[in-house]
Amino acid sequence: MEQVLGASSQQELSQPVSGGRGLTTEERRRIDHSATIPGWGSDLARERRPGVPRDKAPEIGVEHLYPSIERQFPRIKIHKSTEHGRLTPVFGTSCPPSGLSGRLRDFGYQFSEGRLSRWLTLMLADRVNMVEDILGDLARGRVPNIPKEMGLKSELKYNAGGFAAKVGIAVVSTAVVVAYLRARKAR
Amino acid sequence: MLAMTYRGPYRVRVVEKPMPEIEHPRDAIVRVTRACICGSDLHLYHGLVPDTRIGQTLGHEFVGVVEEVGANVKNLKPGDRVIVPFNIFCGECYFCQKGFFANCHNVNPNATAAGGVYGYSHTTGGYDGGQAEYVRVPFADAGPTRIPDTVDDDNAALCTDAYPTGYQAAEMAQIKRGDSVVVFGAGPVGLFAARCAWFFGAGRVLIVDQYDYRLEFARKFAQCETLNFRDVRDPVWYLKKESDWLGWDAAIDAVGCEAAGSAMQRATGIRPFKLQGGSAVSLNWAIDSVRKGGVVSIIGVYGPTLNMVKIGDAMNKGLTIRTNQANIKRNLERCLEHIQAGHITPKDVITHRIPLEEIAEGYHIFASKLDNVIKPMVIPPRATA
Repeated sequence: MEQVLGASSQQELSQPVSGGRGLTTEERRRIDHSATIPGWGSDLARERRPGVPRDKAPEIGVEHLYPSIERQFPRIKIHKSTEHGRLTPVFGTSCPPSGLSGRLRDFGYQFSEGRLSRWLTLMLADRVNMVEDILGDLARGRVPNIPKEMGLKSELKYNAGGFAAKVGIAVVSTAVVVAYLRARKAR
Repeated sequence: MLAMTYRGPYRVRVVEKPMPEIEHPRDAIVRVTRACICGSDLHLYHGLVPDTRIGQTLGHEFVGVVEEVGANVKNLKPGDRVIVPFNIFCGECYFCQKGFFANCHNVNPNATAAGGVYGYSHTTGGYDGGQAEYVRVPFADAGPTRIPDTVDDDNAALCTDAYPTGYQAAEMAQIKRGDSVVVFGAGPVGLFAARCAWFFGAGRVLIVDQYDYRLEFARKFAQCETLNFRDVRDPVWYLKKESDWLGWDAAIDAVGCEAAGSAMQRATGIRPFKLQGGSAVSLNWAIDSVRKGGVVSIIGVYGPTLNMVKIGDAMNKGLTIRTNQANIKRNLERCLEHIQAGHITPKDVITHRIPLEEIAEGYHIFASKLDNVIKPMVIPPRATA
């Protein structure tokens, strides 16, 4: 099965490039790119690699899992994974759970991290949270500026044609659905 | 203070929020001078990460100036310029002592499957992030590193995640002299991974993406070969052919959960269904294009549910699979040495500088790949205060 390359790749791969294309493995092992590639081979030696050895202190054990660290006081409700032995000494305090989404999160956190039900419940809570936020805005007399929040000014600036096409498709699709429903109702 | 907040998929809003406070004696408050939007922020932006709450401030790539320190922070003082690694970590636990700062056990009560990260949902601890004027930095005596005088804020901001993450991707590929390395994804992390693969002595580097403008950038920045996978019917076949049918010595997945290339993977992993922790196309391509006994380095981010991954092929080929979130603090010293030696200038990837007030445009430009974007940087109003 021969394949034909398209635009950019054809152009590029037909050119000789630094990096050993067309060399045998043996030839590549001997090649030295340091004259053309800044820093080439500077971390070839294992002792220059920060991740070697992979385990810096392999002898330490479970007694170091929860070292005695002064504990942050939980001023808000903090969800704890069922797979943690205790609440961690430090945690984030952004966006405490509230409302229906908060209840869903309470429910989701009852499952271990290995259960799909936990993650899908949390994602459901995220969507409910979004609706709660919009309703909250409306209740405060504020209409969210959704085009601004979606950054659509840049879409118009850099992709006006694509934007017009998307709007066109949406308008036509809506018109087709409306026409179909009206025709069905008329029957 | 001014801060961006997440309002739901594809929506962010800049609002006035209360100033962060010291909540633990090892906290610090940092005034942000530069922040970036990360490719993995787009997973949040697209609503793919469970427990992403409305109102959270995102952003895990930022540098700034220390404004205030807690009673137990002795190694920093107000006025210090600091790189804040995206990992939050205590520096003392089982995992931190091993150098696995990304896997700290003391910072994320919400999950043991992930460590603590600034502004990255409650699945990584529920911390507010750095796309704001000020941010709370927990364990400030462990994480932040003073920025050397020879390194400017733009380069330093790339040292909080993208550059050391790409470096670790290359390191995890266990590159030996002359190895052939294929990198999937020409976003910032893939670009840095390809660039850093040379540091480890690679003999050949090829980067795969679907955007011509990114591949053109990669050829200059990473001095590597490129392949637009849209140009071939079967990228794996092509990559095998390119390696004289042996397969590549190492493959790096720098794409993660929003990979294109399979309608089925995207439908079940991204939209309309989110039954998988994202689309695993590039990971499967990595498994298939690497040689038997080769190494697959996974640095792309996936969700916590499950994925359709060709683990059978990986097993039958005897692959080594290495993974982790980057342990930024562990890599930082060496990464800074490379900058100071002139081997790399991370800020070359910055294509857009966006005021914090306009960050919604930055997210949209980055997510939609408009205006040849590679890396958007966010500048808060008090950056030069």
